[in-house]
Amino acid sequence: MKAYITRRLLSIIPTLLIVGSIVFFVMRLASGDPATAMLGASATAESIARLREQLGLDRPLIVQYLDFLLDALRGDFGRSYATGRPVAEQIFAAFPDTLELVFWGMLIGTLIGVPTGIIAAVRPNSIFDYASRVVALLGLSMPPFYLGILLLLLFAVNLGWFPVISTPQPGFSGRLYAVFLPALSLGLVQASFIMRSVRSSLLEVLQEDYIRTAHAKGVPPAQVHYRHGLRNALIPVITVFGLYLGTLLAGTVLTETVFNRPGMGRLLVGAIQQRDYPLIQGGLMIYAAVIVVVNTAVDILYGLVDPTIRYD
Amino acid sequence: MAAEIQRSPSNGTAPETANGTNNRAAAGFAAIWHARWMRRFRRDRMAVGGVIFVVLLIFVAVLAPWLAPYDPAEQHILYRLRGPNEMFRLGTDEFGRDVLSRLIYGSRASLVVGLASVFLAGVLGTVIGGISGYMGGRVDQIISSVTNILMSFPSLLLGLMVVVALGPGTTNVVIAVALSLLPNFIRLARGPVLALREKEFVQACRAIGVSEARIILRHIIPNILGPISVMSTLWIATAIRTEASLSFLGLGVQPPTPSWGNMIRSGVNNILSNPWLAVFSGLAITVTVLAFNVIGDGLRDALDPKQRP
Repeated sequence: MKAYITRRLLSIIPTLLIVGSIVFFVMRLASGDPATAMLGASATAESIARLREQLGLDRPLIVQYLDFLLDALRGDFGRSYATGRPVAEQIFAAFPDTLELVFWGMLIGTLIGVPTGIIAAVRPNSIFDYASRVVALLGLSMPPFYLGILLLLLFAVNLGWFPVISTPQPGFSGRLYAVFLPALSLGLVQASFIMRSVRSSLLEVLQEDYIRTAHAKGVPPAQVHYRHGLRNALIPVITVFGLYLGTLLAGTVLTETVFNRPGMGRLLVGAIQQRDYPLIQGGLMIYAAVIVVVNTAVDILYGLVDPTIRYD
Repeated sequence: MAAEIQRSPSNGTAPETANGTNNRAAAGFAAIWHARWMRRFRRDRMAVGGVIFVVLLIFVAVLAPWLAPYDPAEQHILYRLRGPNEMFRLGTDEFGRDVLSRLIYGSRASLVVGLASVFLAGVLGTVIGGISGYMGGRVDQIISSVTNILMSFPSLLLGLMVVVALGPGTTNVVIAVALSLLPNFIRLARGPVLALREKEFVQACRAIGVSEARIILRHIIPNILGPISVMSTLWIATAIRTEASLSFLGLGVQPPTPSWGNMIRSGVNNILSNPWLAVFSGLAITVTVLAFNVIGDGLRDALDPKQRP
């Protein structure tokens, strides 16, 4: 078990190395020259060359690559072309807002998705099952930002209960007030994914022989469903949790744009529009690191909850 | 899962009832139409509704110049950001362009990106996954581990990365969405190929000296097309959503070419003056994605009745 955890933890290193290389080379493939982009169309060839030298863009690609990896390892992603401030500083300033959104979104998604999935699976083909499946299908057919727009229209524009621009206010209640609509829009979409996987997983488990045996020997139905059914059904759900968290994280890029909420997503989109390469690189690396770490944690958790897995 | 649609010529079960090509095609169509999974599919009212909607949408996209009441680029500058009215059924955008006409023309972008990117990813992914599963060993190890890493990334982030590298625009969005879907197809193709390469008919081919490339292309790939086509339908839905998201961020299909994603973007920018713009374009995306999702779900249920409640 210990060896399994260690091995999974160590595998983070090559994974991040591969991701880092992809991010670096994709950025270098980028069509525009950052020096030209920063100076504008009227810049002279000399000033462009000088800026390229200052930014280190004139060095051989392999040197720039190794530099990038070594610096990234120390948490140094260079300085933003647009603001001149260290990229890491900007990212860490924006990160808590995004993390807050992800946390509440995931919480709402889980609190709605898991119970709905259970009820739907325990009473298959009931009205509840049918209704929740239709709603879930609608939820996962919507572009993640569309629900946000509808909520914004209803609660902020028409009813005026919430601000149109959700800038976090100081204090816990102020933050909660600002995060509510964005988190709800992410959480409801998330709930549809979670509901569907809980339902199908539990349905499958409930058809097993040991469930029939449990019913036959007179175990109360609720106990069969929860102790025998749900526990086993949640194991495959855990594996997709990492994937869902990744989707949610990507969804914040859109949600933050809809609600004009500060965070990593807005930072990244702004950086892309300004061709601020160090900031894009740093942002993508942080997203990648979070996703890789979450997936590793999920893998380890999976090993812990499923006694049938062997660690060799 | 695909036991009933493994009717490729390679394993000799194709119906050999007709002589001419036309007759054979008709017989093939009849065989599919009367197949058990097709009967189950036809009973699924939601899925059939999805098919009808998609067919209608294709007509709308093709016949856009005849169906649209106005030129999608024509500016009625005195009627900017109007809600639905007599003259403009679904209102106008910030340049006074007719929203209904733009929605009709915008269906082209969504369908083109959805279908082209899934086709591209399907072909590339099947070939790469096929090679990976068939070759095994080192090649398989490398391809699988990179695929696994990419799989853990949401398609929006992958698409975003590619668009950053290539720049915005319709063609680049097709490439970006295709690459973001590629890992799914690689994984999907690899598994069955791994199982198939041990089957007798493949061994037989090898024994009589058929080249490896020909075995993959002619004998293995036709056998895995079933599951791939089911999943493709679901991934068209994902592709349309990803296109909409990229265009919404201003990184996809570029104005003045209408796409539902970039229409939503201008709708959000003008949400206080004309909320209908965002509502209608989002609705168009949602209904289209929903249609592909119910078709995909219906196909899966029909092909794999065990999964059904």
